[in-house]
Amino acid sequence: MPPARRVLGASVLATLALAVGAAAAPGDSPEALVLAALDAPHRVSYEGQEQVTRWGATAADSTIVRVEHKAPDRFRRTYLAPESIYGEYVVSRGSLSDKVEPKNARVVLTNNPALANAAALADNTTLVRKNYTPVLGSEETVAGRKAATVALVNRFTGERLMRLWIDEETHIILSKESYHRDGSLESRVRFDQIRYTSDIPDSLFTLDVPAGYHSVQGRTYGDPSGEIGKAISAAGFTPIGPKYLPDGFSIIGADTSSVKTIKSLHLLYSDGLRNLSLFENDRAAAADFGALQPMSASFDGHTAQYVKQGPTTLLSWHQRDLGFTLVGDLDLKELIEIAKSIVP
Amino acid sequence: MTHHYTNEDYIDYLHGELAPTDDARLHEHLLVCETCRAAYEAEARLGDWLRRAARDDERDLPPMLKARVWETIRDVRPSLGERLRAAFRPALTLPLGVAMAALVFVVYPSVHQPGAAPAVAASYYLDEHAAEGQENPLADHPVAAMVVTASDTSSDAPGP
Repeated sequence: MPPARRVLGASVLATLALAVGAAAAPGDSPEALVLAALDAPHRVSYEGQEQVTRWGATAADSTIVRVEHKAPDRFRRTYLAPESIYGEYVVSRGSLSDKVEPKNARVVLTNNPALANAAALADNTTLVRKNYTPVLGSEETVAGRKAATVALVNRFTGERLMRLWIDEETHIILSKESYHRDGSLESRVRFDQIRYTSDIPDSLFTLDVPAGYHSVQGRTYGDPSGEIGKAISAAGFTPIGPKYLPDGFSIIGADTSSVKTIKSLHLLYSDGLRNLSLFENDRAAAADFGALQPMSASFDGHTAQYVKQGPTTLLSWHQRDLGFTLVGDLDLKELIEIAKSIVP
Repeated sequence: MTHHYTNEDYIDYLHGELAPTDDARLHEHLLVCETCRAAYEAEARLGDWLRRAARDDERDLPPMLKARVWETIRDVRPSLGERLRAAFRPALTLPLGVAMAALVFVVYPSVHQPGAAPAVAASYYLDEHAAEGQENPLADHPVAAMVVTASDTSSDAPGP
């Protein structure tokens, strides 16, 4: 993304936050509360413990993590449960993260530019305002803090897809629940305890590789930019886009990367709350599910494979020389409708 | 006058498809009626033969039929064109084979990667999608989702 767009995006978000967010107070509109909540982590430091639970089709997984956050962009997350990751911790500054794995005596360095993409955040904020109606609920208490509850209702379907518990004083999101279209719970992030403080030692956010540990260069994630045409040119083939998208979804970015010499175009769509990724390549390369156990689905004469991971569904198929993979926080039926609108 | 049963009755009897009372009556009749017993046994032998034949996957042609087929093949005289093609076949086949082998040797490695058909790990797509959701505090992906899988430093990591 060009620096100019980044600056523009950041300034748009800052302007929105200053206009309605930072000044939000009890009694303000639910929209002002949501915007203030989006901006709050950039202003407010805290330490606490949160629980993340994701419900799949047949099972749920839960993670308990201790969080130290120093505004605007430094985090340290220490995992307390499940046992398999107990003791691991991640120190992140903007887009860069160092993950320390005591069991493997190593530090994994990753770079996720999306975390520092202010323009994308501004785009998402615009989409949320366009596609969702915030509805104020009753006051509740979370982690000993008074919280305003705001439901985000899809303007097209009338479905409540998210509920937020926003600290009335700091506007930090204390709890967040997302729901499937049928209203069932999809995921929940909730603080069990939280304490606001700026008195967090900087040393918590610097990392010296512990003695006996080795460093490993991990993933550098793509950064789908708004320059869709440029990304498509870089892909080197003519991609096929979906003719159908659920109401409210629009393309927000594109990126090209190479995996095992296979050039893959990543088109990213969003409605503000839910993201949809379409990966295409011209080597007819479908997804290798490895240890995952995919199921088969058929549409318009194609046989695809899909797998569900918590709220996320991945659907993969190929048509002649093109390989397609759809990944989204949508149910299988919706993904298949999108896939049917892609196949030539 | 003695009542005799029909072939259809024997077939139903052999397949156990008669009603219990009819089954018992026919069984009793076969003990006393030679005519029906002979007809029943013929039907039973025919059924056995058909089942054995169905079990045999391969059956030889009768020897006389095989002999006639070979005789017909030997009697067919090839046309002039067929004889010419047959005469030149070694001269054409050898260079053509060498050319094909050279083509495969040169072209195949450049279009075919070792191993199976090209594929990208599903975990790569899931991680990449989850990473994009992180920019949005309201996105459905809890932070833990990517962090737990971020240790994947396999060869699926994108190139520069």
